[in-house]
Amino acid sequence: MHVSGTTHGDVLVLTLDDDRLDAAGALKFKETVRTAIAKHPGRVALDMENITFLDSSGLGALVGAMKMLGNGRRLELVLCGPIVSKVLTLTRMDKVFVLHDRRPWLADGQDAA
Amino acid sequence: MGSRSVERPKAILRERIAGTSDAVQSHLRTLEGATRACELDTDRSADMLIVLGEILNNIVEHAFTGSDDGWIVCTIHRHKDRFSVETRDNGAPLPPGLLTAGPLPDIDTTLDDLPEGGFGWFIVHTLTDDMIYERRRGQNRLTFSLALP
Repeated sequence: MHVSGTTHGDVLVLTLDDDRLDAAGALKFKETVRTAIAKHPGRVALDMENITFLDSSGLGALVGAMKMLGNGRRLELVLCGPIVSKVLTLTRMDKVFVLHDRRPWLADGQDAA
Repeated sequence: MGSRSVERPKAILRERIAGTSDAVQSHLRTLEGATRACELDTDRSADMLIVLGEILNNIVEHAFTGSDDGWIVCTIHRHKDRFSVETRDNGAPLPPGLLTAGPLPDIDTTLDDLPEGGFGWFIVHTLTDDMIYERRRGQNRLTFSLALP
């Protein structure tokens, strides 16, 4: 699993090269996020559009990644699909992460497509 | 068509996998393809994938500790009103306390104190309708179902 990062103003946007965040990849995810967020003091968003599956290990890894941010920063999750949304809602973790149904780094009025 | 053929359960998938998280991931991908091919209820199929991911990874993480010859046989049927799932494995027994609903971990905490685990069985019990566990001849057998709308 690899995480790539692009910066949009204050927001570091992370994208995974995998379509699942689960027990098989959770540890690797945390390691690779730790490297990607180092030296970025601003907001951090994870693009979830291509993630079709999340399990409790993947959820734990998201929590772990958020704790790495420090300074009270919350991890922002963008464009969560049906299974990801279901797992977040069931566990009430949808109240803990910041969820976006569009890409917030695009200026207001700009077409998200 | 007689009522007997209507009520006969339809086999969706039966697969024997190795006791590793990679094998679980591959099994879930296969099951996802099978539910799509059979045009099964989308929401409940998604729930079944979520639940089975938790159950199978729990077996991998806790029943097969220190063992590299673990196997799991997973069988899924569609009945008229429910999906039924059976898992059999040759791992350590399942602690009985996990068979009844557990609480959601406390998330009304500071960011630093948020739980990173303990969600799995809560998810399982929220999405399933019954659960039967048997331990026989060194094997675990767990069955559960998900009601269909």
